Amino acid sequence: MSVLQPPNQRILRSGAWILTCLATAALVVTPLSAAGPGETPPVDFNRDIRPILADNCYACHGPDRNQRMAGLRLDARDSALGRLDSGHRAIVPGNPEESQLIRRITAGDEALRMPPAWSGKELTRQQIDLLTRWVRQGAPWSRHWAYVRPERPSLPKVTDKSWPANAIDHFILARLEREGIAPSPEADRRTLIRRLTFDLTGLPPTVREVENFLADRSPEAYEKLVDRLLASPHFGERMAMHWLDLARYADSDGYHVDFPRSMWKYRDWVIAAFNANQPFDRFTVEQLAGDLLPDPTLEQRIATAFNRNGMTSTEGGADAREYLSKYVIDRVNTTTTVWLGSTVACAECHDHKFDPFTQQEYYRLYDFFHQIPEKGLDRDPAPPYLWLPSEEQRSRLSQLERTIQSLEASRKARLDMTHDGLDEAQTQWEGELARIHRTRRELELKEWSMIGPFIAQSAEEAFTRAFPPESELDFSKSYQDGKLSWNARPEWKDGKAQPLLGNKAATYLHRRILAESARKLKFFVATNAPYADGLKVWLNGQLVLAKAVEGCEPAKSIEVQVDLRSGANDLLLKVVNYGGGYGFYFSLDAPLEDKALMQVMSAAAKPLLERDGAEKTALRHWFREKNSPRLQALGRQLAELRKEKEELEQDIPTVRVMEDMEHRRPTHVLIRGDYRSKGERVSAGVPEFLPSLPAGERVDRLALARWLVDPDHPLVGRVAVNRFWQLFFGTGIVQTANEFGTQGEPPSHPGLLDWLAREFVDGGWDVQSMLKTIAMSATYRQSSRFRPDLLSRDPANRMLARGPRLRLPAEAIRDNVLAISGLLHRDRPPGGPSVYPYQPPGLWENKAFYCRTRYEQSEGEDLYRRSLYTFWKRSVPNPILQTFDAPDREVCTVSRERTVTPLQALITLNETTYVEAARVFAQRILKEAGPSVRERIRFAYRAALARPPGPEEEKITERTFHRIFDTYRGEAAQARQLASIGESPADADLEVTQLAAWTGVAKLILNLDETMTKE
Amino acid sequence: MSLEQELALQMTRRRFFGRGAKGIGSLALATLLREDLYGDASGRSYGALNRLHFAPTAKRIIYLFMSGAPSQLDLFDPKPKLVEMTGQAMPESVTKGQRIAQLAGRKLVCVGSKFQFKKHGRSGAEISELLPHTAGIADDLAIIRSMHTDAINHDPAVTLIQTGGQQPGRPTMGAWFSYGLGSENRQLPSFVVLTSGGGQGQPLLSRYWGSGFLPSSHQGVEFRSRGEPILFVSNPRGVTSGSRRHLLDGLRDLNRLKMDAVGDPDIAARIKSFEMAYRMQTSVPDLMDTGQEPPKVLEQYGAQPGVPSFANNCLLARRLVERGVRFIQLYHRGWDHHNSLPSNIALQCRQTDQAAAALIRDLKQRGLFEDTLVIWGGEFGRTPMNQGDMTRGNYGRDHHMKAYTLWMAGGGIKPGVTVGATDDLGYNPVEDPVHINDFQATVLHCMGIDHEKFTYRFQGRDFRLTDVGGKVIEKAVVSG
Repeated sequence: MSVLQPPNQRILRSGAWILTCLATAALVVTPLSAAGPGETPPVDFNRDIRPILADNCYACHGPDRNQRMAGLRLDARDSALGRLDSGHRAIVPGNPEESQLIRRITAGDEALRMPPAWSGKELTRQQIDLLTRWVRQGAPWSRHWAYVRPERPSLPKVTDKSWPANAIDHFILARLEREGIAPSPEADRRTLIRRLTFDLTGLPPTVREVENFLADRSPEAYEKLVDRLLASPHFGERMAMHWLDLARYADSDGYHVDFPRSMWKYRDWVIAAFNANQPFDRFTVEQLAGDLLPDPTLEQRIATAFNRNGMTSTEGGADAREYLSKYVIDRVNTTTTVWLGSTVACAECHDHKFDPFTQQEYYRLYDFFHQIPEKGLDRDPAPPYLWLPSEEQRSRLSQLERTIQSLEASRKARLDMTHDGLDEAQTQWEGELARIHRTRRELELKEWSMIGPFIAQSAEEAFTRAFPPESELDFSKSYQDGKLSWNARPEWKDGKAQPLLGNKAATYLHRRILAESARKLKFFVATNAPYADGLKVWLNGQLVLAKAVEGCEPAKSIEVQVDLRSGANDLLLKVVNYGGGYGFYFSLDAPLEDKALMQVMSAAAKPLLERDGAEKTALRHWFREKNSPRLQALGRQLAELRKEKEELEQDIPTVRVMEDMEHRRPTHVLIRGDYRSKGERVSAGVPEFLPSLPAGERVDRLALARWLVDPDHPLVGRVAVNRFWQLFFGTGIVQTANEFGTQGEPPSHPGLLDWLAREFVDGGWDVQSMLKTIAMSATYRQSSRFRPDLLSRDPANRMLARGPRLRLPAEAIRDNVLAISGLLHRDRPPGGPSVYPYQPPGLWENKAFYCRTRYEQSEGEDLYRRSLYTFWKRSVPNPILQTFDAPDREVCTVSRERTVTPLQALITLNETTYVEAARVFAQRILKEAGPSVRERIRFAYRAALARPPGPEEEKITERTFHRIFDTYRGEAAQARQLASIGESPADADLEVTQLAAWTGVAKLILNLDETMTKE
Repeated sequence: MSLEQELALQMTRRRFFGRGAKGIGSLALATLLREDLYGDASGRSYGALNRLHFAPTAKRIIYLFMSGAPSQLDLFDPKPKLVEMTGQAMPESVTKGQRIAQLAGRKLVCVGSKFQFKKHGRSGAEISELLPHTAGIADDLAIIRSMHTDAINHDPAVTLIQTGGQQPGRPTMGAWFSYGLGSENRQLPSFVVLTSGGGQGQPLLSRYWGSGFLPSSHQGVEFRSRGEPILFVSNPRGVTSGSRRHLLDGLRDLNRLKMDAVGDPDIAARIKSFEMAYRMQTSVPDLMDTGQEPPKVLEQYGAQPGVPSFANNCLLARRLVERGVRFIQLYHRGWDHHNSLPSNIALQCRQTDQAAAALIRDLKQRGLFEDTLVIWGGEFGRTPMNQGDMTRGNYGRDHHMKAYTLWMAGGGIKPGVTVGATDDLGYNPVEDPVHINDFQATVLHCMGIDHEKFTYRFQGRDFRLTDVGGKVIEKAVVSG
């Protein structure tokens, strides 16, 4: 069945149907307690009452000791039923009339009524009614559902016994049958393979994979597909896309300068762990405490980078203690969010207002993560870290070290050995130098004078604008209301850098040079800052040098040669500051960077007898380095080896890891979260409302990790399966996947959540098996087509009467077009250093801290690497990933948004990757499909969408092709330009206007809503 | 779905949920239709706030952010006593137990400003000679001298003033407005960021205009001063003039076909997003072309068309305001004057003073001033103590979080007032201290929003821009 044949033509004819169903949309969504007319349904505390109390009362009558009023605590039964400060009782079970709580919420007097007006809260009639009924029914209490160990529920009875494929479907169908809704039919097989391939590998299926699946008519075809995808190396990559959000993995520090860091070995560990189907309990223990395991392997230590992924700072003037505390807080918040599905972050400053979690308990967790021997403001690699050369790198490095050492020894020997021939030549050379110095006496270099800074709106303007000194050299004049005039600088010595003032500003420097006769003069100038500034040089009004700055380049001295005329010469310099500091340097002898040459030149300027030993050695070494062929060869060889060694050392990855100090750092409650206000001292421990740690064992991170994965833990299993569910359906069974506490939303299918949790935990935390169970369900396999009846009753698809239809996650958006076009190297094994795909120039540089960052685009295959390998710079995220809702990874992210914005359209229409992918896809269409337009269109749809086009689609696409093609008639030059976008060369065999028109069609298809969507 | 149908759909929405609708229902629906991001046919879209909490005095905001932290002691807060004490030790009673940044562990020596202050306008606001143009608009400003913050380093301090908290992860002011109020136009985003081109200084992190836990569609869209004004807004080279339209027509037809077949409202949103992108492609170059401005206007701002500068950005801000953009965030770097403050700050003022004043005058002249809120200021202030070399007329100042100055003007701001005062040495506020959260509450107030009622639930907590604090600066706003 074609996707374009709706099951009910009559209803789905036009857009008008949406109007009908949206009209009632606001009336649904939340799970309702079902009860027949006339009967008083039992009130469920967790479902009906706790949310009301939490939302409206806990702020003053909840767990937070310091905010509690009237001695009333409504989050715990004993206290809620006990006597108040006033002697009254808030709740008298069975007797609403005697219960202060009911009296106060129904009080006519506004001064008495709860919640008080100033709180901005108000109870609805329905809520008051619920509370009253609840008290009348005896105020039954139960613990918050998520804090109670899940038990495996029996499967709900369903009427339609043929529908369920596994246990999941019983829960889903039972609910649907209760609501009188039929599930959707199974999606067609093309849709299924595409859906499943995206969900399990983050990539689209290939044409061949689709064909093989369609051809496999065996009953196990679908299951075989699931197994094949779980076994694919791309499975680990797909799971890492998700886990790295939780682990707030990034390739840069995050705070302030946002320096790069080397952490990708952790990323690769995650991929490998999922591919090896590491059980989730081990996966947990290794990441939280791999270092504390007995005889930890290297891999287990790398896993602990999980809690070193947090942001770090190197900002000058920052207080290391403050940042150390930020780092620990990040670890507590991340760990609790990921495993407990609850943010305890507010307890950093005060007791939790809604959940039974005290500030003291927060700092007990803090103590676990407070024992790392880190200093606070270190650059990468910030200790403790692992140095992780490959075997090849390690042996090459030691080989290099040995060779360098031995070459250096023979070089040293050669520099100082007696060698009459060389010494003689040196004497001659020194004579030559002396002559140069003598000819300098024919010159008179007068003192410098300067004027400036002339301010501009931008550095470019400062560089190009001709300020007055460029048109008139009149040293008596002043400018800008007398603010700027020429000043003599007799104290400035050549060969010494001088600082200048002003940002986006120009300073002029002048000196007069008297020459006895016309001659050439060579000199070195520099702008003296780590990064280049602008420079112009004029001699006698003639411009001899103009050096502008593009982006951030390191500063370098420039050698200038001018022709002096006999008599007076005017040398004018203009130095333009592009930012940061700047200055000026002038020397006849040596560039600013070459200290050795400077030393040689000054030594050579002295008479022989006045030279000291160091100067003599400097001269001899310099001369021999330049004139002995053997030494020169040695020098070249050494330089090359050193360069190789340096590059190798830079390539060797490191990874920051966890370690505990031998002597524990004391932990105090930080009052109001302020790192300087220490309260009582606390030691590591877990919150009281959760199970306790095993008695008598060492209390450290390892204990914490093992406690989390205890099969009886109420939260961890539920939290994990809920996120797996979210991967498939877009929304968890608990929609607030990051909040399982009382402020979170209750599960849409509580029984299902508990069943999955038990299945997962009791089945040995088997991740792939859990994912397979979900993928095998009939629920997952339903068609995702929207149904008018559902849109009115369940617009968010919480009841799951249809399959998920969701825009792809950011990485898959880009990976999809790379794969469809053929640019992606599908067979490349997972892992490796992060890569730098196309990015508009200047993105990093323009906002950087004094140029401390440069983007160097990758080459070859790396340009088309899967997006999860893209260098993740927190302060300037990759624009494609960011625009498609990838988080900046500053903090742990549990769920991503799925927005639709015009900026996304600009990317998919205009960004280089997309334009290139469209062209390469067009090349594929032209080469691989039959010659007719229709054949080509059909091929393109199959390649991009795993299905042929419908007749109407084919017509529109064909029409569009002809229209675009017409615009390229006689426009071969334009077509060639389009074909030249991207690093991969255009196929020269193809006629270029044809290629341009098919590039248009390819782009059309790559931009379809369906292409960007998992259906 | 035709445009007419879309309109009908939105009217239905209005009819059912426009009045008194509360909570999830209408919000879920708006989200379903992605209405928060796109204007309807009239260009108006609906944010999460169904209605404002009270009548707004401002409809839009231009926030001139002075990154690096300008010295209040040399610009707005004259301290004769400090001048007198120049070279003497800072009394320990003042600094004891205080947080100190780069001067930690150094000798703390007083240094007064070398610049002259005069009273200006009828209001008699004291402004330094460094800001002659700002002095000319003194009667339009509410100068707040008693600002104080909790962070002493740039990154957390900018994060705090933009998001209400020092820890990353929360939405910035512009994102809150985009979320709460939606958009007022059909071709431009509602939250635009402009950074003065070139130059260097403290880094600008995209967190400073991020959407935190709000949907990322609410993050500020950067209009760049170099290269393409908005990333990817230009057609790639070699795209013929007609072919883009043909492609979009085909795309629209195919997506509509799909919409009819599967009925996912997201497809309608996707169709709209391509049309809006197309409109952006044509409207953005026009917007950025300041060459259309009469020479007189360019001269007032000191802007040159095509040359990236703060002046150019101020002019662009006005053009954005005219086109219905709600929140315009400018960043100008280079105020972090630990050393050589006098010469550096003078240069910095020459790059910003004229344009900021011209912006106010221009807005007034066009009748936009009364409902546009303009803010000028940095992330914290600078110390009364010297940092670096101190020679004749030269000194530097470290970060100071206890007191600094910021000004506000326009929509709902009391003109010609100076709020708050600091002690004789300019160390602490002694009158009407204004915390960052108070400033934020005031900004929300001007836009008709009660800062305590504008919340977003994330991880079980109702977050607001003002965190757990915030009190409107009554002395700075027009009452009633």
